[in-house]
Amino acid sequence: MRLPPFEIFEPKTKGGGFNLLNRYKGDIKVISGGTELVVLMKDGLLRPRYLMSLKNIKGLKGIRRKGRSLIIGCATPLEEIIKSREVKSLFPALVDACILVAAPPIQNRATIGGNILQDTRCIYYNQTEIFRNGLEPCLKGGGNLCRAIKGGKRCFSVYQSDIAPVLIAYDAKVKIESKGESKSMPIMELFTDKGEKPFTLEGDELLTEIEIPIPGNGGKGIVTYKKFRVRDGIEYPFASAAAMVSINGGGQENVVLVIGACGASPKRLSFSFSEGDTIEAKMGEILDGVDKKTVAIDNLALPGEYRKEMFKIMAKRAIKDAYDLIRKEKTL
Amino acid sequence: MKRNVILRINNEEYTVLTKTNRTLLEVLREDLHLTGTKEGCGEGVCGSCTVLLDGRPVRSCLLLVTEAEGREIKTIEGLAKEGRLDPIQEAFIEHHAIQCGFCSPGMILTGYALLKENPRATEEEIRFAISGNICRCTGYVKIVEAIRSLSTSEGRR
Repeated sequence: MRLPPFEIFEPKTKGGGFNLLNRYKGDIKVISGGTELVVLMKDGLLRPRYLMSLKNIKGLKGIRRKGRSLIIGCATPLEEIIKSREVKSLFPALVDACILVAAPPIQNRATIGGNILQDTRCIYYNQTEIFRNGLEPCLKGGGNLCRAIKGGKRCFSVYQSDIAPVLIAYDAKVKIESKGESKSMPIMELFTDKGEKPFTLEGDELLTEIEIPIPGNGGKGIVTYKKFRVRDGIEYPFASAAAMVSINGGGQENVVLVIGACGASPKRLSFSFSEGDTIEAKMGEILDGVDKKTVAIDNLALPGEYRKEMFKIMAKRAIKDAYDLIRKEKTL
Repeated sequence: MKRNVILRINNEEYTVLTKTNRTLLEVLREDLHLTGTKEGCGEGVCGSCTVLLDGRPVRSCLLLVTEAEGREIKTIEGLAKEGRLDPIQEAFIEHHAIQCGFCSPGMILTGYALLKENPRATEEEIRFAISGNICRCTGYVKIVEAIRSLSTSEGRR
């Protein structure tokens, strides 16, 4: 498979990069690890006139502390996150999620920014040009119909990042920069929840940093992540769940659940219950919530009905693991 | 658009005049005739096109040739020295870890990189390292045994 033609820029500074994004807005795509973009371009799903490489821009890579937060540069490869002792001790579930992304040769190139901004997928869309030839373009391809559901009025493509659900559970923020502008927002605000255009990011904007708050003393929550796939080392999640469980001084328990691969964005649910209630007694209510908030249709390699059940199973396992870790910490 | 791309492959420098919309894999095979690196799926799934970039295994089918500039690239052709195979190549032969051979360059380079970084790699670590390389012949057992035979961890065979 060959790549379509494009011109590539390799700016040396962030400012130079923002100028290019501003000048060629709509015609330019950013490349860093390239593990997703190159596939989409080979399939002819993206045909940008220009690419902008981040390889020569300093300051977009690396992990550092800033006050009570950990900052991860957008172009940091997953492998660097996996090997970071600081990330492992502060945010172990982030390391778990990175290890579950594809296989080591992909982790060596793929970046955290690219993983968060990966496009949504559907088996009727993510196909070669030969497959798509002769078919009317679907909603995601700029057309008016949905090939996954007859008469479907919206795009049902699925967002399959392993990392985003965990970052949401950790209350992470993202820094978005463009020419002369900079803003920070909760990662949840990145998502439109629309398969046609999954992100709120504009063509001249770059996600430059991920900021994860370091939990203070006493308020520490435990985050866990569970991923369901059939073939390890290859597949994106068919269903996934990140759980954040925290117990405050008064014995009040808070559970935040983030379900992945259940629509065009991760779905966040939060529950809190007071002393006297047990997680076992509350589980039914939690799983009902998961059921109501998630959507799965037959547009990935496994049936929607099956995936719908798996959201609940992943949620249950993630919560159980978090409680087990809390109990273990208490007995230590 | 064409431009000169300078690549450092197996300790030699190559200047290639090429269009920029090509992958490292295409340039290796078509321009430099280093055909030991194979194209399988062409979309980053199978691992046949694995090369080492600054010592770490990566997919050359997903790597733009311009992104490989300034980096140290190692292909399967760079393992043998002075006509002698590298110990890991010998181990693959000895353990019958090669059948059709299509996955072998990628498997061998992945094993080589793992043992450089972790000479005491356990079976579990070996299996994780090669989890991105697909073999349709061997069932992986012989491949794991071949890599394990060079690991200095306990239980060495």
